[in-house]
Amino acid sequence: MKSLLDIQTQLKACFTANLDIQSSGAFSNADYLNGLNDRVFSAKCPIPLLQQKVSYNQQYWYRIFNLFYERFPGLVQNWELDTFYQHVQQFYNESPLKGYLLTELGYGFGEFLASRGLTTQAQIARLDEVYVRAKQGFNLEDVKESGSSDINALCLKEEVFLYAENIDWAIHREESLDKKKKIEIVCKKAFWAFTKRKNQIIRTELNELAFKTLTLLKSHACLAQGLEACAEEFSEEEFLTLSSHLNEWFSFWAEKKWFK
Amino acid sequence: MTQLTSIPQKALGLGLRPAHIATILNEWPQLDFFEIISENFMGSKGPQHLNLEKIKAHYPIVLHGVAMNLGSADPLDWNYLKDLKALADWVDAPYVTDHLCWTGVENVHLHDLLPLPQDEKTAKYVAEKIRVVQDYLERPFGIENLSSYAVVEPSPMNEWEFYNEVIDRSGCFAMLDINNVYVSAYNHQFNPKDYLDAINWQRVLQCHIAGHAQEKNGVIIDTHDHPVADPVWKLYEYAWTLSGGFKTLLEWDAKIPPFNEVLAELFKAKNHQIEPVFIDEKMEIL
Repeated sequence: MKSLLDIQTQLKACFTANLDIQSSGAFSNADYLNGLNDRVFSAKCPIPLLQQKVSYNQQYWYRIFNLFYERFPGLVQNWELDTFYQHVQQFYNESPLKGYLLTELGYGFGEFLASRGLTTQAQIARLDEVYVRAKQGFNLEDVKESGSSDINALCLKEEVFLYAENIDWAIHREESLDKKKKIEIVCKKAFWAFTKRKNQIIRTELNELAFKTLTLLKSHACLAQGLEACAEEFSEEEFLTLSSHLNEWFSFWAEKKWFK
Repeated sequence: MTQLTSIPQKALGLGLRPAHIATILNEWPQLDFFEIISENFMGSKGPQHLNLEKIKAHYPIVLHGVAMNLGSADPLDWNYLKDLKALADWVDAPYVTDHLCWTGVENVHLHDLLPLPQDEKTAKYVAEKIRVVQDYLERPFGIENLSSYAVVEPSPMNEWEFYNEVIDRSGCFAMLDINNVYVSAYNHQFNPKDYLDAINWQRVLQCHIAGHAQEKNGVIIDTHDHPVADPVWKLYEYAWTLSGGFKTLLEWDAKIPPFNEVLAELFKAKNHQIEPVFIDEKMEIL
């Protein structure tokens, strides 16, 4: 008689094999099921009925796909569902989750699509991902602040998420939640910051220079270092513009509680 | 029925979902309790804990896990249990529940709730683990029956015999999911009332209800993305008459509607809480 470990190891192998085989075929529900009947379950498995095995496999994928579907509404809307699922499947096979938590599911999907040359979809995915990260992040008002006004002590909060792409997908975000509605993509350079306050995602439009400044502030330990980097990396004209707006911009960001 | 906690015996509760947090914090709706997915709050403190801290001050919070992996051939994960206990202490959970299943083996997580061989040996094995868990957590611990799509062979017991065997051997409680009973009964073509008839209602901590979806191949999947189906409400009514009442928790995990719609779905339960009928009889000989 087989031990529990034997049974579970066999089943684990079945699941793992399913993942590989699925990634080789086009995904649509009916074809997928029919195809699986013939292709997948040649491995010995203690679950006797093929259809039952397919059901378990479906449930596994249902959970994974459902989360991707919820987290990437922009992509869902701009792709045929089958195409979306195919890319999700390939991405998930390459980067499966390591633990039992699903929190980070989908992180890096934009980069994956970019690496496949899917530029527009990568930009949309990055925006969807920024939303997810902002949603999962702290409310700005809950992040402890130093209380200091010294730019050597202050820094930009990690909870300020920046997004810059060549399509202004952010303006369509709410519409994209209605996944049946087709939306024309506006091709325009777009710069946004996403934060969470009182559990609401706040979208703040930026100009290019403000975006570049914030990006440098975010990658440095304190505002003083970030500003030094601006001085080094910006053109003279950019730095002059920054200098003339410095007080105004920093006051605005401080008022929004972007610094700690 | 089991009255172990400050939560009323016939309480109505909801699974706490991030999509509803803002509404809850603004409106503080009338509700007996919330259930959280343990794993979403275990480990180091994150933003979700700040909201939960406010919510737990207003409502009792019970814990429901999906990754204890009780039925795995792997040993118990003590890091997991340590984090779970810390969370249970923090929210002062009246009780903790997880599933009668396995979710991975050899340190691989399969993100699914998988069935066990339904036999005495496995029941004994899982029951031993549950006893350890219950002792360690120092709180009532309940296990949920699975929605099942397959039976691992050989399985000389049916689902409810195996479920009862584990509960009896371990001394733990039942976290009975009525939708799961329906899903399993439909998929395996048995009478769901037979399942409920076999339940020892004295050991039931709480019951779950949820929606399910039917796939093109006819199988019903426990998707938690629909309102509760009519046949499940019928089964709920039957369970109520057998038990005399229990705590009811609605789970809604995908395609989640606004909070008030979910709350309205939960409150439909009140229309299905059929109290046992007492019939006065006269002895003809008197």
